[in-house]
Amino acid sequence: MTSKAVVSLSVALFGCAAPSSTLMIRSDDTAHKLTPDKATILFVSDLAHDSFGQPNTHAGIPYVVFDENTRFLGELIDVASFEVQVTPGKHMFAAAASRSTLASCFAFRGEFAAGKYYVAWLRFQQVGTNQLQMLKWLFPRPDSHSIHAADVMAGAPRFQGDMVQGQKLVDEAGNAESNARSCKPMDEVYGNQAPKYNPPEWGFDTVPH
Amino acid sequence: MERWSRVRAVVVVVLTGCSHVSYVPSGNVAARPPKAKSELRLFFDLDEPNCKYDVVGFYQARTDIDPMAIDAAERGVDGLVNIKCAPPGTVGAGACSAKAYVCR
Repeated sequence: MTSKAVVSLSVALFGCAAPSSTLMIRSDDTAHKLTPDKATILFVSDLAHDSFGQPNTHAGIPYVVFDENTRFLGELIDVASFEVQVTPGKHMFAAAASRSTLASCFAFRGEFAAGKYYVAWLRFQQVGTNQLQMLKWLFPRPDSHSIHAADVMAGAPRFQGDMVQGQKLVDEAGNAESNARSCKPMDEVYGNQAPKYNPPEWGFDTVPH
Repeated sequence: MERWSRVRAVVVVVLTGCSHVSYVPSGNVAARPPKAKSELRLFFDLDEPNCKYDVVGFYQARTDIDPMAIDAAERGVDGLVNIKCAPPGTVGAGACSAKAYVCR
């Protein structure tokens, strides 16, 4: 086989394929669930575009999402989503580049109420007049003027995590536990622009549609 | 009352049309005491304040956000949300738009 043919075959096999996570599989069950005694959180990402809608350099980089106990919850890559159910109360969630020590993480804290549906959206966000963009968690909520939860949800395919392999990845990341504990939540990064804990009212009584 | 607010909006646009910033109120908004520019909260792009809020007016500026922020502080609103500026290298680079908001 000539090298030209090898290149062509490689492009055919890999070049045009959308980047995919090895820890997540496309979920057949796309129905969103509300459980009376749990809080449901949909983690959504758009890492493929910047805030001007242009392709960006973070496209194809997977971000692992974990909780305050470094429990693996799922992985987000480009435009994707996954749903988790948590015990009501206060929690912290963070995202970090998956093949890293989890040191460079983006976290938020919130108080989550039973029977409510929350949406957490990881995207590139303009944070100043100098066009600087940073990864940031945004929260489509019932009183949002800028973000419509249903639109965010509709555009993101649903995935389910391989919890065993995902936890292995988190556990094997160097110093993952201490690094994850040092994740700075958004209120510590952005001051009073972000709440210390997202209030329970940021959840929906029904699944947004 | 509604007619008066429309007239006032037009007057504001006419008066500010030749400056670097224009402001159109979204309706009848009660006057508020001015505040320092440093007290104003600025939210870019899709970011939003923590409080439940109402949009009370719309800004456009030809240069950057500073003239909007100065005017908004004089009007005593709580901040600007949906601040968007045309990126460098595009038509109208530097021009910005924003919405004035007050917390409920």
